[in-house]
Amino acid sequence: MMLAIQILIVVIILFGASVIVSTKNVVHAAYALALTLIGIAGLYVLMNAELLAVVQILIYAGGVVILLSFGIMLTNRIGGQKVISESRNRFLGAISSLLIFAGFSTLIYQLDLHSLEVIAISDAITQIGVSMLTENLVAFELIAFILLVALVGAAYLAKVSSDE
Amino acid sequence: MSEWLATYYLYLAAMLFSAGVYVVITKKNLVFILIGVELMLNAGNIVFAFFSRFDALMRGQIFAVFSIVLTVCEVAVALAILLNIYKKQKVSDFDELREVGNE
Repeated sequence: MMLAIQILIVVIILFGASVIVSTKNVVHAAYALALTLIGIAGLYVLMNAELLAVVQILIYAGGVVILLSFGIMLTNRIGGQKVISESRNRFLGAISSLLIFAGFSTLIYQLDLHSLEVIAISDAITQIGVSMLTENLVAFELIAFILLVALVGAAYLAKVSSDE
Repeated sequence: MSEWLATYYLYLAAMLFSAGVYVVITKKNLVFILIGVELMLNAGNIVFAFFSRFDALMRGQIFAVFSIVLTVCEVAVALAILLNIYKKQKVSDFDELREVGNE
């Protein structure tokens, strides 16, 4: 049963990624990205990272994909026709991505996980919350400030262009 | 858990990263390139979550949360810049983009 769920999640992720790689339609790619991100949330659940799974669905599948869809709608001429993106440098892209995959695979193959053991933590979310407000408080406040500045800056950038 | 099952998350992350590299290199549309960057960042987050299982303090998960927030900032600013480029030059393909400053 567990193995079936794992295989299902992996198939979902790989299907979404292959659709993104092969399609020419940008809107299809955005929806396939949503599928892939939901699959990755399932992967987080399998890795006992429930907080990350919830954050993934809320922020990525809910926020980033919507933002990207708005980007597609605002930056392309949509008059009933499909938003097609041509490909270029196919050979170069295939070679470099295969090389990167081969390099990572070599590293993963050499990895020795025997000395490590999986630590089961019962109240993981509570511990993460406490840690964020004690040990990682400076980073937490900084990231909040960066988010504020980035969102205000993005709104300002988009506004100035509409005035001209 | 067998050796293959333990590391298949990492192979999956490597596949997602190389798919992101392929998308960034080959696609022309600017939003498509952003989608490829998203794939690569997610591959990194999977690796963080994987190695966080061996850490009693779960520092990998905490770092992954910060990385997700940074991704949101990046997407928001990048889309605002794309919007500006499109409004000024009426271009949504990366290859047709010739000038980025004041004309």
